[in-house]
Amino acid sequence: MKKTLLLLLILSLSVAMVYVGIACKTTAAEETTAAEETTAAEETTAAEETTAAETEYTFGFVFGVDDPFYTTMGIAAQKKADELGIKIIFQTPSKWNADVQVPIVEALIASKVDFLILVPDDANALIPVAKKAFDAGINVITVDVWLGDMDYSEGDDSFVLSHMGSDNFEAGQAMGEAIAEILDHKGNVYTMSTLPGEGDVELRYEGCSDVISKYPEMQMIGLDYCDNDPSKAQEMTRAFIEANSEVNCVWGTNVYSAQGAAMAVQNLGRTDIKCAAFDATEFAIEKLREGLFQMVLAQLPGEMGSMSVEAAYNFLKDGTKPDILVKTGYKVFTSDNVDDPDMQQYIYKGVSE
Amino acid sequence: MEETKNKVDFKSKMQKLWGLAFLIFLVIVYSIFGKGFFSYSSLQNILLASSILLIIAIGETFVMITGGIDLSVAFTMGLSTVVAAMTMKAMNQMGINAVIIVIVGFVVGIIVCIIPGFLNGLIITKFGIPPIIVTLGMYLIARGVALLLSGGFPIGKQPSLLGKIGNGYLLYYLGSKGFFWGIPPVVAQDLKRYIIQIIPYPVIFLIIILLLSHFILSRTKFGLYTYLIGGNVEAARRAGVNVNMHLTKIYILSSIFAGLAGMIYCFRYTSGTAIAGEARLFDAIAAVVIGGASITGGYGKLIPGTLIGGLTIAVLQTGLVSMGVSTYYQFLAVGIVIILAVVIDKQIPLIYGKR
Repeated sequence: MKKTLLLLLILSLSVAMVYVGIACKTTAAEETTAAEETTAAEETTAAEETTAAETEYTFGFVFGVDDPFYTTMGIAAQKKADELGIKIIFQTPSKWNADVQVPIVEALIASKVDFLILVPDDANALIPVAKKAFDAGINVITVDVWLGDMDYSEGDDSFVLSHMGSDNFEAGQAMGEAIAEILDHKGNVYTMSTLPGEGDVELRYEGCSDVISKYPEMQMIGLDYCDNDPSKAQEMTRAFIEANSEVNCVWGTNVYSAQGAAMAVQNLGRTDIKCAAFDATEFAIEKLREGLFQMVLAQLPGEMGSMSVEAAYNFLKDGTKPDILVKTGYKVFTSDNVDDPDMQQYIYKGVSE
Repeated sequence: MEETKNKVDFKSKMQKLWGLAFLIFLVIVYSIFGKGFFSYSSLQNILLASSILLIIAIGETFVMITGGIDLSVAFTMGLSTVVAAMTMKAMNQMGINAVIIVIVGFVVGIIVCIIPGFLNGLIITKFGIPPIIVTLGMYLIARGVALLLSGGFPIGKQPSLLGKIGNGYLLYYLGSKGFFWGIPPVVAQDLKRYIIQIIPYPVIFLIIILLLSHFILSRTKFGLYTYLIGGNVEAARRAGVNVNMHLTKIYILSSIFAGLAGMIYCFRYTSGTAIAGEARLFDAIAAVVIGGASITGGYGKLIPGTLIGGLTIAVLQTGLVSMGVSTYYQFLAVGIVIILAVVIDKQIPLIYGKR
């Protein structure tokens, strides 16, 4: 009896693994590309001809972490890919951590994707593996977060084709202007951000500070990092508010930081503190309607997703190089336009279809 | 008599082999259903991807055999990368010779680990506080120190030699040009993809450390004492083992392994950050458990044990990517494997011992 139980256990484990594998197959037919790398150098031209003859490209798209911003990006990217007849493998690191993301990229390199679109978790740590991809014949475009210093015309990162992302500094400035208006050009501003050294949120903060510093009666009084965890954002914001009497506005530099910070304000019942958010998730828009947020800034992750796919496709098809730096825009939601039918498309989607 | 002997043989064979059999089964499944999984470079990548994980797991194995656990390794690793990277960055800016910088960085990264390890051992032995609590406290302390030192920022601007070693291979082969040792052949960009890379340096490092550790654990007095303490502390004490001293050494050893893993991180990613090891602690403990070590101590092996455990996790994680499967399934997969691994390990003696 016990023997059969053991065998049953092993069998069910094996079946579970195989089922997961089969259930998740997106395409029925699998082209077996030549996996041998023993082709001699003389066969370069022959190899290039065979790859050009394949009609279906496969792209690898690696997000930063699990986040509605990236889910929205993924939906748009998939839509563009369906239009162009491309297959995309999406991968999401379980944590915003280079050590988790690098093996994912390496696995994609080994499965010989035709192109890599990447949101690097660490601007320096991902350069070696991105270079590896490039050396293996896989070109790279970064979205949202850049590699190195964002300047792909020279240096260690010059192999990257393009970076596509928000103009974070400008968007930060827009945030600053909006906050200044909300507070009537008077008051103290507290910022909740994600991780120090993360280029895009740093620029948002700098943009905002740049604007706030122009107003003599306004001040940036605090900047904390919540490690992209909304519950931490909530705790830290609460602690800050309770320790500092004069906080007039609280804003978060991305989805989770804004979410957590605003919840702290709501739970403390401090209706005198205004809130603003970067990233228009359904939660943020709901809170905008309720009056908790006064302003929500929507980046255009969908644009980043579809533009990168299109640029990659064009490059592979006929070698057209995309612009080395593409700045996607942003939209501002306030209580005035939150119900506008035209604005609805800019709200991020929570779950992928 | 004949019958019992055969049953005993089969049982111990089963215990040793089921993990390996399962691993081979996984590799077969992924090779069939995954794209590019069964290629030389992909399998090599799995070893590479598991290198950091395995080194932490080796240290953790020693600790768990004594019946303890070390949670602090997650941030001892980060601390070591931060200290090493800061040192190397400063030296780089002073224009010191790259080879010297790399050696100094490595040494500094390892030496700084002795402190949290020593403190762990001291508090656990002198005050008799359970290891899980002490190392949890140290996890937070190391995290704080690493964050304070680095300001939370990842530290870059490292000498380029660092990345060359971390991402380098022992041997390169290019069809038309033959073999190259240590340094890749310089060829035109579009020829680069045909270069076959053989044995990454971090994997060589891993193999050396693994073999050394296995030797220490299975063939030396140090290893013997480790098992004795794990099996029965009192008996060990009465046998004349200086338990306090030995345990302290074990925790220092564990932290040093975290430092070694940290050094691989630095070399591969040319960067140091406080959160470097955060994602690996859990996987390392899982690797030890899947490998058959007992949580209560006294039993466990590095080869095959922890080695197979670590490889299984790396294969599961990599394989799912090569199948184009969402990373969410990874959590499910590893979780199921851990539970089944422990259940199977318990069932085998129960089933085969009872007749």
